[in-house]
Amino acid sequence: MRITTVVAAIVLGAAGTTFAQAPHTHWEPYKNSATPPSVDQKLMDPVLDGAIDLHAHYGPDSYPRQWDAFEIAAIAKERGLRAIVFKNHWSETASLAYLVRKYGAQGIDVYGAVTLDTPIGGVNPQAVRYMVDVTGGYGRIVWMPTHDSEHEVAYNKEQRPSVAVARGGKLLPEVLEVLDLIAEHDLTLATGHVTPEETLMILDEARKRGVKRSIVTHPLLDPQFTFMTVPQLKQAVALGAVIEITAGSLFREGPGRQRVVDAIRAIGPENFFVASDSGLVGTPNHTDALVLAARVLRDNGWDEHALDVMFKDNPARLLKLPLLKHN
Amino acid sequence: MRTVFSILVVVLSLTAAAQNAPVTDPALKGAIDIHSHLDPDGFGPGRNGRNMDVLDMAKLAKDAGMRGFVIKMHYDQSADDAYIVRKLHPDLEVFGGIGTNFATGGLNPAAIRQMADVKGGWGRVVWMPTWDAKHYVEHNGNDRPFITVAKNGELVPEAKALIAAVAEVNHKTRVSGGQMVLATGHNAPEEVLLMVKYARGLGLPVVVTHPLLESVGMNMEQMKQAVAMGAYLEFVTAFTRQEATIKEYSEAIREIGPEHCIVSSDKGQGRGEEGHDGPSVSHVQGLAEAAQILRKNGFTEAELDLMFKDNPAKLLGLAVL
Repeated sequence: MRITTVVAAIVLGAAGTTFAQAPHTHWEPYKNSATPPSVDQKLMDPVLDGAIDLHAHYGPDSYPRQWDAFEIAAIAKERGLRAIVFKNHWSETASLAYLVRKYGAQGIDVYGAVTLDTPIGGVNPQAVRYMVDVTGGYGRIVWMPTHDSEHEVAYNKEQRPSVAVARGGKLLPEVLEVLDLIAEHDLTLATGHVTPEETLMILDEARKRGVKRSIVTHPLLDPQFTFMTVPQLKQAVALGAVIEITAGSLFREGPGRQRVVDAIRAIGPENFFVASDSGLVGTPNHTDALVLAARVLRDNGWDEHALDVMFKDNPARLLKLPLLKHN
Repeated sequence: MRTVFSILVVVLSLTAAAQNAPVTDPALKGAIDIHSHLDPDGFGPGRNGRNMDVLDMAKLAKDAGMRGFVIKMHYDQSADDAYIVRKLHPDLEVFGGIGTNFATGGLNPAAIRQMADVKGGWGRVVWMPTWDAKHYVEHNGNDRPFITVAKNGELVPEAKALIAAVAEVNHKTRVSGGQMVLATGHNAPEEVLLMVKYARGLGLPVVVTHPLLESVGMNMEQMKQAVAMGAYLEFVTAFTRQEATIKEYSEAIREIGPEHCIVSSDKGQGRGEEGHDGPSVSHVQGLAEAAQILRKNGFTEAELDLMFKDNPAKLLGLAVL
């Protein structure tokens, strides 16, 4: 029998008893605000041709999402994307990948993932096993805790159950078991919204346990998520990880853009990939977001080769897909 | 060898034919199947998927004149799948649900709240632990972790918190504000009765999950107690396979009264699941066979309507047509 750990389930069960009122979260305002809808700008750009979006939010979700999974896959296919991974903070998405592949746009590789937040039991090995077993076998990425990570909940000073990955400078047993499962099923690890120290511990342990592909989840976006310095990111790269840049941190005005540009200059584009992280109502959709991000990178001096590495080749490697020749 | 192959081909094509042939029965017109196992799903390490997916089912259900179905899950929620099916088939009333086994964190209130918050709010049925329930694991003689719902004649705090979370989102699901349902899962009869009492006390509609299957195993007295507390009893179509169970189910439903009973398919099996060998039967086919057999055993059309249409509708908070 492969079921060996129930720690996560027990911890959450206990948390549940002290959690009677509706949760108040920092994203609750998003759910109920009357944001004007996104406009599909239909941007076209060579960077989309063969691009892979490893971080695509979709509807139906509990966040308002303007486009559903079928529509997003169709738009992505129409504008030249090669593959897309559906991301949900609270649910596995391998099942949706199966339905979109069977009934949706053809000629684009659609994949699923799972994120280890509270609704699936936190860092729960059984949730990972389930994702692997879902019809079609399209589950590819395992995100460590994101919105429910201990770090994010504490940073936002929220009173709600959170998911820990480490105690006293040591990774928890369920984290080790999940890393073993990622290695066993040759999945891709994404570090989620944990602290920089936890991120480095996870990457180090993952490598020791045979995980072949790792992503540092948008470490330059905002302090409430994982927020890492260039030296820390260099350590992550030395541990074999590829660093995720979300498109918005490039196309939005503000200090984030310079932070990203400086980091790519310091560490080299070969250690980064760009994903859309799109899906919020009112913000550019997935393909528009990728194009807008590429334009900012061009303005800052990166050539088409560097863009191909960050939008196509590195995401392909992270999905275990062969690299394609670029024009 | 060749003969074996030919037989295999015949069996396979018969299976395919059985699944795709139009099924008609008066009991199916307006019926809601509250227990449809469908792809995409994963049901245990290395085990195969279901015999069709949610959109295949939508087509068959529509062809048979059904009103809708509930996508049953052991290890996941299906609110998102229900949303997708409804978007493509707005004339069907399709619902999702969630199992409370280890894959979603066991007795995990966060899983319930999240499901209720998914766009559409179509995740409506919460099954108490099924495959990971203590009763089920022990009944099967397995040596593996399990989920305990009761101790010393009382529900454990985690079970109460889970049921309370279901009550908390009742009529508050996103967009639709719909009615939640508690299904009792694969638990021991005494545990089932504790859950029925607690959930009914919180105003939740309750369906006792297949009380006559071995995985639960309730006697007449226990089933009557559940009914006295206002629960529906679910009878799944596997009973049509044997004369003994046909007799058992017909007599039980007669004694309890069809006004307290729901017939659901529990189909979707048939691609390698233990205990479900033989040709795969579609959900619609299973329901049609059950209706025909019950009719033969003395149930009237009005009684079949109660069990296939009206009671499922009431359970889900829908108008009776």
